[in-house]
Amino acid sequence: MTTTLQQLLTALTQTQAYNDLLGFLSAEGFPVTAWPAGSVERTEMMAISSVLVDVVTNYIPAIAGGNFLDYAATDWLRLLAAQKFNLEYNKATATVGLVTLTAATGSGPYPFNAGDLIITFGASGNRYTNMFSGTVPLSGDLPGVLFRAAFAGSQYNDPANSGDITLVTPLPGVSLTNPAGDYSDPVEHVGAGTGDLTLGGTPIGSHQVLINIDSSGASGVASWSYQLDGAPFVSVGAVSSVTNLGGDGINITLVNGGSGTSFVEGDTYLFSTPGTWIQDQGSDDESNDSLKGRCRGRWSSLSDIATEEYYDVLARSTPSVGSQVTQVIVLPDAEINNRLNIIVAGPEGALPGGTVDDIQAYVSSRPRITDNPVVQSPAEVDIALAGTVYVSFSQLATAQAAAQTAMLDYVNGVGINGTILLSRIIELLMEITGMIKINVATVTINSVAADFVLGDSSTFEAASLTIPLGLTWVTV
Amino acid sequence: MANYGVDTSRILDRALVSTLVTNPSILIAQWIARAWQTAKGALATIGDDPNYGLAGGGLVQYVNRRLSPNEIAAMQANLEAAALYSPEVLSINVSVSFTQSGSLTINASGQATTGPFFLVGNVNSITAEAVFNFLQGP
Repeated sequence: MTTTLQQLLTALTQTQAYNDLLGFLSAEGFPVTAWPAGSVERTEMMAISSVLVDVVTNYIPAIAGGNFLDYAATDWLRLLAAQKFNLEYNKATATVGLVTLTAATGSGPYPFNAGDLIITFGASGNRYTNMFSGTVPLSGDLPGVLFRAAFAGSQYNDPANSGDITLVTPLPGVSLTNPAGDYSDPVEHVGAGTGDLTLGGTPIGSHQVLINIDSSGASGVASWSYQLDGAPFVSVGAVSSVTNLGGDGINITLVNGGSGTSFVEGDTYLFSTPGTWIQDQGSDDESNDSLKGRCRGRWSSLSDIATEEYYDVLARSTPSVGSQVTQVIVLPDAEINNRLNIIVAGPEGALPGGTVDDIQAYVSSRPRITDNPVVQSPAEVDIALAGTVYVSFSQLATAQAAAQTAMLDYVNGVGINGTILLSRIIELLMEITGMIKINVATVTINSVAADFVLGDSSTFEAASLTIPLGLTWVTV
Repeated sequence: MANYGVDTSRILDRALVSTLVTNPSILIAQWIARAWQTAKGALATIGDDPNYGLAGGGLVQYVNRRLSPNEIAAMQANLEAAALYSPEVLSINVSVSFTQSGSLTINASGQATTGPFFLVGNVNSITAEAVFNFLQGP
């Protein structure tokens, strides 16, 4: 009898295994029909069938499917990826962010070594540990202290300006903040130029700006263009500064470097607004689907003629970035024929500038023929949910927590330029234990009772859910 | 489907030579003896009936315990309940006593659908090993 792959991959239930055993015994004349629970033979057959099910359901399908991308999973998939495609799976990464320590008047100085300080965010309970040594000055501030999450994972996504950070390892008189400025810091620069940007103004909303140097020279001589939120590049010519960029209150000034050519043709400068306290976003182990996608895309790397899939694989395979990249969109630029926009995002949306910079450097060192790949994160769009929901009085607290988790998972999962469905929000809220009903007419996304579409063919957006949710909870 | 038929003679451990049991009163008495030595829910680990067995963890739970009269009465009720789980057992009367050495003696008699059954058990206070004698009805 020929055994098919499908048979090997099909799980067996214990009932099926037990009945099969009884069938064999019955055929040999055993009185199988008279064995109640507790009888000797039945108990033995149940024990044997439970072991059989474990083997048939867990081991055989994993072994049989381990050599096929469609059927391999986790450990087998990772082995297949490494052995056949020369791809290591991206391991989980830990969040790294900047915290400011402030000593009250008369407190300090407090010297510390790496690992001495443990902080916790009150809202999430997440803990972080300092990465390097330093000293909190007497009655002063120590900004820019790097802290690393206690464990790797995407759940370490605490907001900036938390206001609720405490030292587990106490330093009397010291308070903590994790401020995010108006702009990401530093401006991420890729290229050989020695110049930099100074940012100012009062930015309006969330944006990502990419500056491209179109011709070399000093500030005021080099011509440059900008791309706002993934829209087509706009040339500003050979000017040293621009105010109120795109009408969004962003001021940019080109500042010459100390020596050499300040601004070199092809150099890029990337920044976003508002800034973030996070330097590296924590992420989970690479998912099976992502690893399978990279394996399939591996074939494109064998060709001298690049495909979009090739750049997708590069973006997801950047060393040190790891599994921070969970979404990639590759699109030819609508205006410049050799430019390829590579939009990347992580599990919590837009990636930190440093991460985007790392991906850009990795991709830029591997271009095909005349391609000019430009890596960027989507602009983050704040999503505010509202509506009146009715919940059981005794389950209010758990329902509220569950609703926040469900909405975060859904909105984060919509992806770059996805659509947030009003009906799906209502459906997910109704599935929460304790929820009695929802006044559907009151449910809105950003004050509009309609689906919310992110981005379009020339702009790239990812959603950022406003927490706490703006729902009105009525207990019944 | 009748619950009587043929089964292997066994209380707990496998014997060197398996013996078939066909006497209905001994079949049911052995079933009861096994139920008393199986913690309720233990069969669930192999996917079988989770309600089979003795609540609280089998006969060994009573070994070397100081039991008040009320606790002894509760123990007897527990043993009877485990036995009555089989629909073949119509009634059962259990009495327990402790020897000077602390060993537990159980006397049980009852009516099954095919007639009376009897069993006597002794649980050693040192080894917790249970030995049962099954008596055929008159």
